[in-house]
Amino acid sequence: MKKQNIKLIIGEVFTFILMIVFFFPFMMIIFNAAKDDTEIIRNPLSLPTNLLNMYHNAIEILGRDNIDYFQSFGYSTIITVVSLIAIGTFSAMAAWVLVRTKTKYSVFIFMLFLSGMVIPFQVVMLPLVRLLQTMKDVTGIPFKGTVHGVILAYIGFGAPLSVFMFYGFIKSIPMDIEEAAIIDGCSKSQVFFKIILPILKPIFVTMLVLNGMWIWNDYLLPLLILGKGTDVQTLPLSVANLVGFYDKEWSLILTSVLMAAIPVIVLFLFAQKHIIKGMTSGAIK
Amino acid sequence: MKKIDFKTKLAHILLSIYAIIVLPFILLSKVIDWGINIFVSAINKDRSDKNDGSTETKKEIEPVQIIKFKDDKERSTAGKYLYDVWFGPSYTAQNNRVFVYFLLPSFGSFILFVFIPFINGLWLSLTDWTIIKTDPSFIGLENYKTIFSDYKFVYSFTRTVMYSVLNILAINLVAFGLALLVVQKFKLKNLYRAAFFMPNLIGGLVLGYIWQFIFNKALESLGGIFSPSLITNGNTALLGLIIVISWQYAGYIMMIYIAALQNVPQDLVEASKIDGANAWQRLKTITLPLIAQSFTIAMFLTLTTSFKQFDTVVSLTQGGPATKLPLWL
Repeated sequence: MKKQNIKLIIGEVFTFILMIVFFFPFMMIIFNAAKDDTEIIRNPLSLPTNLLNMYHNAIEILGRDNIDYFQSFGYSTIITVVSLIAIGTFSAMAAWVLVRTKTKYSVFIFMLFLSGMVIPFQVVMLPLVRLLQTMKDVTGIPFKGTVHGVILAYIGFGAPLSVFMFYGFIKSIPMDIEEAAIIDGCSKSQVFFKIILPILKPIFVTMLVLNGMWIWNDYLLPLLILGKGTDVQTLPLSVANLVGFYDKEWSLILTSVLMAAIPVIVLFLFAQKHIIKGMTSGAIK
Repeated sequence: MKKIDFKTKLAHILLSIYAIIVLPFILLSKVIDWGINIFVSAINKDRSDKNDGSTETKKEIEPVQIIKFKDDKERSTAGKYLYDVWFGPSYTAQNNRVFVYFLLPSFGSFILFVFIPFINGLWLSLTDWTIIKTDPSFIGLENYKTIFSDYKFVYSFTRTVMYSVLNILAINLVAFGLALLVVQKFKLKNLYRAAFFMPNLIGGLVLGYIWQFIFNKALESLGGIFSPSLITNGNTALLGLIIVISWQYAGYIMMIYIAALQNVPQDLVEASKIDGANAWQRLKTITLPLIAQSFTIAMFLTLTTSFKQFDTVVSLTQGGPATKLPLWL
């Protein structure tokens, strides 16, 4: 018994040290965001001498006009939230009708969705830009450099994985529930929105977490559709703008990195249980 | 940077919200209304038919025939078919309407933004298209010949394969090790899990900047093997990239392994303990076979992320040193 306890304590200490090692990069950002440039060059590893520097750096970043922090934060939030709601609802709707309609068309469409999962974005991106240009020429509505263009693209790119996940989950929901609802007088769409959607909650959380992390942190798709240095910028794009502009001004770069990472980390700390549960259950299914 | 005024911005935002959320639902309600109208009119027609059974009035309201049918029976079957299957109040028609309707938003944007560009890209790869040229002409497999005879592409392709294999091994080893540690009965178990998972929240681009700072400034100031910085040399840059990606991704894969390890029945482990198996034998013969399925998932996930890596590479080394990191563009 005693021998086991000692083993456990050694293991715990070891894990704790490992955790500190894992946290080293985070500590580096936080320490160095609170220094000015000369101090960073002299000794990047030491503790900061004056914590007020972090505040000065943050103020300076908010003042720079090539990284409009609040604006790009707002755009990031709008794009992420709207695309998540849209991807979730639309994919669940599509998956539900695909599961419940057993024809060769539905199987074919599901196969098309599956094939979309293995198409890497890099293959699609240049023709996509060309297509968006054509769409503007034809309809007169600009898709490049606009929020709705990005959101529509995210719905398309998020659909395959989400439909696949919802498909597997909906298959396990018994048909009897829906039949009972129909007998009680529900229309088809009411069956989905009142019966099926509430049941989908756990897998919906998984979908939100996976897609949310991807969309919030995505760089390539906004870069292609929005472009660098235009009016509509997401957070990763603004950080890239700042780095491109003030190369090697590390105190500002690290502060901006910290400011870009903090919203997600705060969200994670609040919803930790749901996020971890959502991620693992989605992967195992 | 050109500033646009608040009104235009607001218009963009409203337009996007409208396009994404409101429009489909308006359409939905329109179609439902339409269905109900047809349904109601059908019932009314039924009623009026029953009320005045005289044949004279029926002839008066008979519509103009566009297609000539042999007899009444044929007309009713052919004409009714579309109505019954798509627009009628029957259960089948309702089913069909809902099928198209529910599928359209996500399938439509999937086709528009993923599938058509993909096919278009395949076609363009067989032509001499450039950004400026408007009417590309077909040149067959010429582009593929050019690119595979290009030293840079072949080099970065082999580098990518090499990096992917090493990366998959590294991530899985680290993740499995962490998972084995974290499933022990430690006091701060949940804290460790959250901490190891945390790097996964930071996006590829930002991550690259953080590590660029660490490699180029923080570690270089230590001297020794870290100076000159790891990411300035081709071979060590590969190692640096593997460290970065493992640091980011191991937490996620660890979660998958934890979920699998918790499903291993404890009585089997205890039975083998009584039979005298040591820790390594228990791991090899009991645990590993039981969590084999999660290995497949983890391999698949790590494989796709390794090959698709772009943001981190850009921000870490700008694709340098000299096309030695996976960057095909």
